[in-house]
Amino acid sequence: MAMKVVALAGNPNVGKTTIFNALTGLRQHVGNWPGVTVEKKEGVLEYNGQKFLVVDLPGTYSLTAHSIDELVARDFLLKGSADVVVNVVDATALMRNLFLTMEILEMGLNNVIIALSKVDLAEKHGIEINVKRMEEVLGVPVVPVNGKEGVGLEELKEKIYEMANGVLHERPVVPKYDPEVEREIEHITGVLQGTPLAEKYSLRWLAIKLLQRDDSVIKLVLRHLGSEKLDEIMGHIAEVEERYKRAMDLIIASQKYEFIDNLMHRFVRYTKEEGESFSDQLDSVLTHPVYGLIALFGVFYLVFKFVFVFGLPLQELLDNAFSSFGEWLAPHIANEALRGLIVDGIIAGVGSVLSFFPLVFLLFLALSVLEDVGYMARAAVVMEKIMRKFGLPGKSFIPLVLAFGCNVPAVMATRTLDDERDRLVTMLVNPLIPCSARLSVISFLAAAFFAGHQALTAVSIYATAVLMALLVAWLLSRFVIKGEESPFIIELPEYLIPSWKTVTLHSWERSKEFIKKAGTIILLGSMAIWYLSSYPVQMGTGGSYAERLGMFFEPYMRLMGLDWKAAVSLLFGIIAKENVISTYGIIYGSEEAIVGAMTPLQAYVLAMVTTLYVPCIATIGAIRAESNWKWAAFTVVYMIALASIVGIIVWNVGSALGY
Amino acid sequence: MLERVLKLLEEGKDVDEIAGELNVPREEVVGAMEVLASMGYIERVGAGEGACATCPLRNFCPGSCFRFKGKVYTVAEFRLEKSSGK
Ligand SMILES: Nc1nc2c(ncn2[C@@H]2O[C@H](COP(=O)(O)OP(=O)(O)O)[C@@H](O)[C@H]2O)c(=O)[nH]1
Ligand SMILES: [Mg+2]
Repeated sequence: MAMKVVALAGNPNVGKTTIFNALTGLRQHVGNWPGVTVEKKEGVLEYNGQKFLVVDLPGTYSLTAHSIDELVARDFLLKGSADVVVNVVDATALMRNLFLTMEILEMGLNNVIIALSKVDLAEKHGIEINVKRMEEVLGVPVVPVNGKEGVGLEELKEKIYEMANGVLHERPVVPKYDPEVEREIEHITGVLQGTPLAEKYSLRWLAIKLLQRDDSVIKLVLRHLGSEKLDEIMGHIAEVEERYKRAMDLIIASQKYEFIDNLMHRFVRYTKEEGESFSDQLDSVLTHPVYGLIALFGVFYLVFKFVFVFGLPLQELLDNAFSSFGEWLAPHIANEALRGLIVDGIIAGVGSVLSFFPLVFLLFLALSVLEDVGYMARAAVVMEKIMRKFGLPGKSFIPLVLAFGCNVPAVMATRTLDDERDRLVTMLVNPLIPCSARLSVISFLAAAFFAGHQALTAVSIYATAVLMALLVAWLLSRFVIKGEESPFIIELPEYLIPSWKTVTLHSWERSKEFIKKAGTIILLGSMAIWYLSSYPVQMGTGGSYAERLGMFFEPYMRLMGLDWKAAVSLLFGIIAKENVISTYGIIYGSEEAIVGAMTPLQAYVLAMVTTLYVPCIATIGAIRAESNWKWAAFTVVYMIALASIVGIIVWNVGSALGY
Repeated sequence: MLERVLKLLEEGKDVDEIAGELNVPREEVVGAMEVLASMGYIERVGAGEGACATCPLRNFCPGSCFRFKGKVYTVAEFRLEKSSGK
C-alpha cells in the first residue's frame, strides 16, 4: 500500500521546517520539485505502525500564483496530492497567516489541520488565543505546537493519523464576500456547472480565481470549455470591474482580510500591554528626525572612539614592525635601485597603508554589530527622512548607504531608481559620501595630528561630507525637475543580540579585501610614486618628476595651506584614495617626519580635501558606464570646485582663529 | 483592511502610523504588506544585495557591502501612475 501523504503548508518562517524535522527525524530526502529549482523536502513519519510521507511545501503568503513557490504549493494542493494538509499558522501574526488558510480552505479542501506554532511567543506578545473557539469558528482541528521544544507534536501526529484514516471529519469555513461579489461568484459558478471541471475542482474557487483574472485558471477553463464560454465569462468580469473601477483581485483579497478580521474577534484577544514596549520607545527616539540624528552622531562618535582606542596601539605596532623590517632588509639588498624600490617604495608605501588594517577591521566589526543589533535600519530611517527634506527620493538612501562602503557598487545600485533624474542626482552626489578607502586617510591624519580627539575629528569630517552631499543634492534637484515621489517603507527588524561568530566572520570577509587591495593597486601605486620621486634625480633637489609635477600645482594648493607634496598625493589618490597615505609615507619616510612637517590645521584641511575632491578612477568609470562621460566629467569638476572652496574656507577661517 | 493598508502606504505613511490608524498590531500591518507584496501591489527593494554581487570591483574592493536587516518596500509603479493619472 502506498504511503499516505501529509503536506506542510504555511507562510515563510512560521516554523514549518522545525515541525517537519520534529515529525520525520532523520528520515529526510531533499530534492527539487519537477521542472523548477524550488527545493522539495520529503521525509517519513511513523505513527501507530503506519508510515506517512511528509512533504514540506514552499512557504508562501498567498496562493495567487504570482511566484514559482506559490505555484508549486498551489498545484500540489489543487491536485489533491495530499491526504492531509497541515497548515502551520504562526500565532504571532494570525491575520496574515489565516489569509493563506482561507485561500487553502477556499479550494474546497476538507482534510486540513492547523498547527498553531510559536504559541510561546504569542503569549509573550500578549496575544490570547482560545483554541477551542478557534476550532469551532474555523471548522478545522487546531493543535498548538512548539516545534522547538516538541510541545503538541504527539497530538498533531494523532490528528494526522485520524484524518488520513477517515476517522476525523471537518466542516471548514470558507470566506464570504460582499453580496455583489457573491452574486458574481454565483453567476460564474452557474456557467461552470455541469462541465468536466465540476468533477475536479471547487467551482466556487474557480469562479473566485477567474474574478481575480488568475492566468493559470483562465488557461484551465479555456482548455476545458473552449474560448466561447471563456469569452462570455471574461466579458462579464470586465463589466463587473468597470462598475467597481478597481481591480477585482484587490477587492477580493481585501474582503477576505475583512472576513478573517471578523472571525478573529471571536477567538483572539489582545491583552493590553502596559504602555509601549521598550523597543517601541527606543524606536521612536532612534527614528525621530532630530533625536535620531543626535543619536546617529553619538553612535558614530562611539564607534570611532572604539576604533581608535583599540586600533591605534595595534596600528603603531604594525607601523613600527614595517619600518623595522625595512631597516633590517636594507643592508641585505646590494643593488641600490632595487633597495630603494623595495624599502623606500613598497615597504614604506604599502606598509603605511597596511598598518591601518586593525582600524579598518574594527570599524567593520563595529558596523557589523550595529547591523546585527538592528540599529542600521533605524539609522537608515533617520537618513531617509532627512534626505527627503533635501529633495532626494526615498529610494536613493540605499545607494547612499552603500557608498559608505564603496562608491562603485553604490553608483550601480542607483539602477533601483526608476526615475532618470532622481537616478542622476543620486549618482552625482554619491562620491561625496566617504567610502572606506577614505576612512584610512581620515584616520591616518586624525590619529597622527589629533591625539585624544581622533573620534571627534573623524566624525566632523564625515558629517561635513554628508552635509555637502545633501546640499549638492538639494541644489541639483532644484535645477532638475523632480519626478513623482514614490512612497518608501522601511520595515524595522527586531532588536537582537548579535552572534559573535557571524559578526567576526563578516568583518573578516570585508577587511580581507583591504589587504587584497594593498597587495595590488596600492603596491603598483607605491612603485610608481617611488619611481617618480627618485628619477631622474633624487627628491629634495627639486628635479624629481614628483616635485616637478607637484610644483606645477603648488600655487593653487597654497590657497588652502597645502604644498606640492599634497598635490602629488592627491593626484595619486585619484587611482585609489589610500594612495594619499602611501604617497606621504614614501615622500617623508616616516610618520614622525610627516607630523613634524605639517600643522594640525593643514592636516585637517588635507583630510577634508581628500574626502571631497574627485571620485577615484573606478567610481568615475562607474558613473560614465551608468550615465555618460559628460556627467562623469561634470562630477569631477564640481567636486574639485567644492573641495577647493571647503579647503580654502577651512584654511582661512582656521588660520584667522589662530590654529 | 488590505486596501486601506495599501492606500495608506501610497500616502507615504509608515508601518507604525498605519498600525495606529487601523488599530491593529504592527505585526499584522507588516503581514498585510507581505500579502500585498506577494500580489504585486508593493515591491521589495533589494537593499544592496545585488549591487555588490555584480560589482566589477568585487574581487579587490576594500570591502564592504552593507548588510541591511530591515525590509524595504515601495509601492508598485503601476499603482502610482494610476493615482497620479487621475
Ligand atoms: N519561539 C518559537 N520559535 C519557533 C517555533 N517554531 C519555529 N521557531 C523559530 O522560527 C524560525 C523559523 O522556523 P522554520 O522552521 O525555519 O520556519 P519555516 O520557514 O516555516 O520552515 C526559526 O528560527 C525557528 O527556530 C516555536 O514554536 N516557538
Ligand atoms: Mg522552511
